[in-house]
Amino acid sequence: MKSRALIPWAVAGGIVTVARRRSETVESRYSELANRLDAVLASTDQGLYGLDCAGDITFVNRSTLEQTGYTPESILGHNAHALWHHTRADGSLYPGSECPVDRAVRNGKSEQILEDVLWRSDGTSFPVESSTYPLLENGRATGAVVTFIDVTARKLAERQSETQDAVTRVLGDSSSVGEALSPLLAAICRGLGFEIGLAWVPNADLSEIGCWASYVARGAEGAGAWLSHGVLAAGEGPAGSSLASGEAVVWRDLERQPPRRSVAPSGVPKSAVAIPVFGIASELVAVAEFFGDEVAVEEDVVDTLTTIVVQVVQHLARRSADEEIYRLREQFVANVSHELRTPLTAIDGWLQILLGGEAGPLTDEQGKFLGIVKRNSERLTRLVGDLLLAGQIESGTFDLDLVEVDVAVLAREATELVAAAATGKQLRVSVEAPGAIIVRGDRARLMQLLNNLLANAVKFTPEGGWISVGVAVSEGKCRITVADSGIGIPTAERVHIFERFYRASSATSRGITGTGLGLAISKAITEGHGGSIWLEEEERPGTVFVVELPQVVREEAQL
Amino acid sequence: VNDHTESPTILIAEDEPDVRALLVYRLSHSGFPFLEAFDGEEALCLARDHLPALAVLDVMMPKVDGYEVTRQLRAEESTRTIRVILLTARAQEADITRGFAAGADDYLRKPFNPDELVARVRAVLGRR
Repeated sequence: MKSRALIPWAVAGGIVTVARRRSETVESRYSELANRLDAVLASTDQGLYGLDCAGDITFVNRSTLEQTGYTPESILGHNAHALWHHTRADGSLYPGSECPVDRAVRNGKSEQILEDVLWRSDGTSFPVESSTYPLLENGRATGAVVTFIDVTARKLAERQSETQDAVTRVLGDSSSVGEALSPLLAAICRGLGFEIGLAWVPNADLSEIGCWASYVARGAEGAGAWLSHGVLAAGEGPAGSSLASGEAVVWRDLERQPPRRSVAPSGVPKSAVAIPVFGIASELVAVAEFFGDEVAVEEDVVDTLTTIVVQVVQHLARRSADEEIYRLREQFVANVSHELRTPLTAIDGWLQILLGGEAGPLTDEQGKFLGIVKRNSERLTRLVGDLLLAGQIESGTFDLDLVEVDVAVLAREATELVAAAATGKQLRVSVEAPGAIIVRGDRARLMQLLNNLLANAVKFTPEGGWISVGVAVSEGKCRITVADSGIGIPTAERVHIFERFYRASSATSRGITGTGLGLAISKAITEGHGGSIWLEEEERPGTVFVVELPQVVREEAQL
Repeated sequence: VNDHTESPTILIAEDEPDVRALLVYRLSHSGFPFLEAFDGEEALCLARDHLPALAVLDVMMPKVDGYEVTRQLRAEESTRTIRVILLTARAQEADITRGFAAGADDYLRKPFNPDELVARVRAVLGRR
């Protein structure tokens, strides 16, 4: 639009520096000034218009006309607020008495509006940021100049980046693709103004796609159910077209171009966009389809959706690479454990033969020294077993062989296993258990659990102390308590003791050896049985571990 | 190859020399004649030629593993009755199940107690 702005007398001097050439007449100077002002107003992409003290339009620039779709003749002398500022963004009526533009004219003070809309001649609106500068004469406002810029692009960019942030959060919070999908669709729909989001997965030869996940905004349930129903052939609807072409497609005016073959229910949004999703090997793995009203389906939205899809695919690819590294690490632990066992077999076996005296009689000292070698070889064997088990727990390949186990008997057996070590330190060990408490559990693993707790109790209780083991049924659960009068665990460190390789400072400072695997394994065994393990808070020195196992089969009184 | 007593002959197949020597030492000192194999292939040849009463097979051997040796022994008419004890360094239950599925009579986890090995050998032979 090339219409020239009309020149307001009042502003001219305020904006333009007037060239002063003595020879010029007032007439020619005025004409030059008018031309210059005209050029200034036309040159900017900001909308700019003038108001008189009644709020009627006195002039407009080229950009204002282009943005609003009006001709100068149709608006000059009309009230600006009534013309293009009559309604708020939310559709509610905007009384002139509340308008900052009018207030600026009334009060003679400039006003800025950061969140506003202007209405075009065709009845649509666009978001703007505007400033109003009053024209003052002797301290009194005689009108105002209003400038505005269209912030549609900025708003869209903000919305896009907020959506991308929301997508990143969803990806971070979910542990699998299946789990992430619906929240992802929801985040995209909410962020970009769609009502319905659908994820489609193609068959092997890409001839059709089935709906995998969906998000439907409240109020669009009927349309959502209809759109997500069944299987689409390649070419059918926006998603099918995107599948066939391998490109993003935008369908506007869905009333005339139905998105499905069956008859549409009411309330189907006006437009749709479908985006193909390519995996890391550039193979088509899915199609995302979104439905919303016209405003949501702009070219920029296609770009944003494409960016988000790439973001999601890359995130998932990175995650599966992380999982591969994780798997390899666990495999490595398993291999190392295996490799360690072979030499241990030779060491242990030959020691056994020497200690058995088969290769000739041993002197007392030789026997004593070989006993030390044997003890350490056994310790190494246990460590390798723990390491392997910790690896299995981490990688989820840790199996339980569930049978009926009497925990009372198990507790007595476990106590007998540490009896020699306890006697060596003059520890009193007591077991309090009723007749029988039968649970469903893995006998070997439960034994290992009890043995870990008891071995710790022996290790951390100074000479002359005591260890007490209790087994009882409480509220339908089997409760095992292992208490000691030992050095205890500092309160601040209690939250960490079940972590792999964590060692309490009370242990390390006293030079008590260990790997920091025992409690982590005990916790995994307990949780594998659906139970829980914790440390009881105690006033007196010492430590009390409690294990609760839920699967009690039956309880028998002591005979 | 030892065949001077009436004790049943035992085939020992293990690729690790130190562990194999341990098996040989312990079983021969317990009075069993023995055959030695360094891998699964050799174990199969010796089993076919000498028909030992029992085979102690390491699971992880080069060429043919212990599971496969067991399966082949079970598949052939002449070697079908040879008893098998597997030595496994892997402690997972699935491996043990696999061993029994292949037709093993018993298994021992590495590291094993040599005395326990002798006890198991006697027990498996006694089952006949």
